[in-house]
Amino acid sequence: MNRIERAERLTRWRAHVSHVLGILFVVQGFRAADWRVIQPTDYAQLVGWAVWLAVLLGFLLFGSGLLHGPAFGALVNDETTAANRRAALLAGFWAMLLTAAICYGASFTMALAVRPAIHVIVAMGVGVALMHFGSLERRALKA
Amino acid sequence: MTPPLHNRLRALREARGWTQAELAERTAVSRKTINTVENRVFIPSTVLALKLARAFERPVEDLFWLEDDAPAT
Repeated sequence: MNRIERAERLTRWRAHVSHVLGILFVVQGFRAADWRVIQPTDYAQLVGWAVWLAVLLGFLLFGSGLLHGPAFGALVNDETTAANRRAALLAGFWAMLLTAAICYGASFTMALAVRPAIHVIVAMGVGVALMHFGSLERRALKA
Repeated sequence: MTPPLHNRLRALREARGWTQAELAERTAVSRKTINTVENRVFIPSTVLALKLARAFERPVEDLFWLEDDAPAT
């Protein structure tokens, strides 16, 4: 298998994983909005969530393939991927803004604590960016 | 708004009997990038356009042209 085929395989895998991780992160963000799931004092879960967030952001911002050397890393993170990443981050930004607006509106009719709201807003922003990145990459791969 | 960019990468590539992967190897980009440029999903950077022109040993205007501009022959 040459490096183009290896890059293709890794890109395909990354697209699928990105999509799945995005869905999982959104689902988990909404679950975390319920204090019965994450108590304010459950620091282990809160730290776990923060670590997972950092890992997902690293995956989204820096891509993959860098462990295989700079040349291969450049191949799997070439200009199409960079453009898809920018578009995904933009989608995530709008999702975050929209979710924040919905939370703001909801706060007039229900008691909405700050921490669950942040969980949902961040989950929507990062999750939508990951899902959109996965979709764009899969579309780009189709012959 | 970015003007539509036309190209004849596919025709030139197929005339040489190259696959997308072979062209990708020659230009040091992924096959996905070649695919998206060929299908006009993605507008390449100047650097990539020049790399593609070099791979085909043709001026860049032979590969890409703007809408309403006749392709160079």
